[in-house]
Amino acid sequence: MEFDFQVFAHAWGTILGHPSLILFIVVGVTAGIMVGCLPGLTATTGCALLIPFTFGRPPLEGLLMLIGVFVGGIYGGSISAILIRTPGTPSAAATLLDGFPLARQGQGGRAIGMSTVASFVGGTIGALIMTFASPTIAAFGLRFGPAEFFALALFGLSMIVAVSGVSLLKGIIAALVGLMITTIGYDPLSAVPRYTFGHMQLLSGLEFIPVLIGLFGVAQVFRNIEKMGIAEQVRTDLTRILPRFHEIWATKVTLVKSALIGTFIGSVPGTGCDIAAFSAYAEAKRSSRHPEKFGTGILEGIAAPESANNAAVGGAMIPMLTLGIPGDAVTAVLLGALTIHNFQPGPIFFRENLDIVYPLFAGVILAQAILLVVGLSCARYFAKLITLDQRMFTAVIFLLCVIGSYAMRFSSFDVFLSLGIGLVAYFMEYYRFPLAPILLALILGPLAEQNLRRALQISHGDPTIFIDPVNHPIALTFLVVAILALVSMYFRLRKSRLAEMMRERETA
Amino acid sequence: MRKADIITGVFLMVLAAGVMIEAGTYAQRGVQIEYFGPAFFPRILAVSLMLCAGLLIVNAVRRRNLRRIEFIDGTGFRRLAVALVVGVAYWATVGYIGFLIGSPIFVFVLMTVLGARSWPQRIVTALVAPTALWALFEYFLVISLPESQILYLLFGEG
Repeated sequence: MEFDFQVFAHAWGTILGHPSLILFIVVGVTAGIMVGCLPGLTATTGCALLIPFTFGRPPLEGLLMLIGVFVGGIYGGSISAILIRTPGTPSAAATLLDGFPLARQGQGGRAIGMSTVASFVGGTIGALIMTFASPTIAAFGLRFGPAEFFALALFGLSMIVAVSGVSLLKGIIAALVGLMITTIGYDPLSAVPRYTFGHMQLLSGLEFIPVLIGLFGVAQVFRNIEKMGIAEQVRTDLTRILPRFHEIWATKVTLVKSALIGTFIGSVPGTGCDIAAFSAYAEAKRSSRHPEKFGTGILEGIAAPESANNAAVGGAMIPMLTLGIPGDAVTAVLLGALTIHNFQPGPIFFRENLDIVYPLFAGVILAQAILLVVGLSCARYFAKLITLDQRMFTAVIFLLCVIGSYAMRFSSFDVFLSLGIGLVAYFMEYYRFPLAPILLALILGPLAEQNLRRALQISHGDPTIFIDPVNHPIALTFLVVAILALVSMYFRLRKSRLAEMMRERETA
Repeated sequence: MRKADIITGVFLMVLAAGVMIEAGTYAQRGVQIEYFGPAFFPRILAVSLMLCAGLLIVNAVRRRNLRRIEFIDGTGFRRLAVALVVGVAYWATVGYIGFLIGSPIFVFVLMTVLGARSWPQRIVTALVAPTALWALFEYFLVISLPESQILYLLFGEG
């Protein structure tokens, strides 16, 4: 399955020939930037809240809008990171290290401008790699059988568990709870109803959208309500947004290198834009001639993480589109959106839905250009959003969560389910249980169960089918990497916990 | 967080036991080989969860659990509880009073609970946001939001 230039050109014609598609990308990018720049809302939350807006529209319009939200949301977090030292999204946490000091020097506009340009460059490189690499990876995926898909699902889950929190055990528990949720409803292979206890609403299982909105929308609203307050804003000059050309040119190597780092890290299932951003920042600092200047407010310190986190968008979409395994929480939401529109991402998706796949590629690339234009022209207005009264905003977001949960099946049960899950998720975060493994488990659970049972039936109950190096080397590889990732993270976390306990003893 | 981890561990063990017992009733159904039938996957998950929950309790008892780094603010939590009650009451009644009546009331009351005191801000937000969302869903997405049963009974269709 090679990349088809003719189909790609046709996809561009489809998008450019339909102004409504471009409009949806613009709306998505703008909404994403607004969501991203508000602390308390993330790109994941933004996509989750806007999924209901895709129900009544043709699939391509809705999907392009969500991609716009993803792209805009990852960039938007840098605005609040720079201006109020509070990243709007986790992926902007590395940006504040140099962005906020620069804003304090009265050069917030320059910082935001550099962030915009870096996001454009990194995002475009990531999107191009995604576009040209995906068909080849999808072709590779055609060789997967049940054993490989089960191992891949386990690999994806183990990666998100390994990186999602400070406790491996709590991450595994969260993933197990998420997998248990997926067993509610009709068994996919035998149609036996499970854990429904006679309730009709549970026969098709817990709906993905209300659970998603509960986990990430309602829980965040509850946290905002509990911690209600208005963030301080640094007075900074936002009149000049675009940095000078020679300033951008001076960071060209950092921009490209960070984009490549971001794309690679984003393409590993379970990792995400925030890890990509920090990795790129660390590498830029390590390889710089003046590493001591990082953290004092230099443009390179903004270019590296912003280029990487937007490149990771394209990277994260590679496993999602080609193998049906989300690269991170946001792509898990996008995968859910594709499923709602009756598409099943994976190798078959590339064979049977080229009319959707290639326009999506073109849409991701176009979204970067729209991001550059919208970001540079409207950054000062987005910056004003941060000063809006949170009480007003929180009330409206709460309303949006309720409507979003209802709109899927016109069911009040889903609304109350979403509120209940939101309350549980709110407490989970306080007791340091990560939420991302639950989300991925909801997506990967059915894939894992069906393929596990099929593989064991094929092998007549012999579990060594998953570790057969001759007939199933791909499955064995995924399982080995999954175990290595968990073991390595266990030792790293144990080391940092021991260091923390030593510090506590010293201060006690 | 030691006590919380122990309580959570016990709860998870009870949950896992419940899943296991209920899965036992599915083992007799279905048409596939019993071992890989509808009870297979839930049983694996239940056993795994029981082991993890046990480990969570053991870690807590041996004081090897994580420390809490954030604490729930009492005043904030009371505010959250009231907001949740308002939200539940809103959705429980929206089927009777309708979205266009219930939602402005909900937004106004919620903003008041959250501490907003400016009347113009609350009134404008309460009127504009729900109306805009209703129009977006009704005309652009063609998704109907709950209508008022009371008004329907009083005035009928149209």
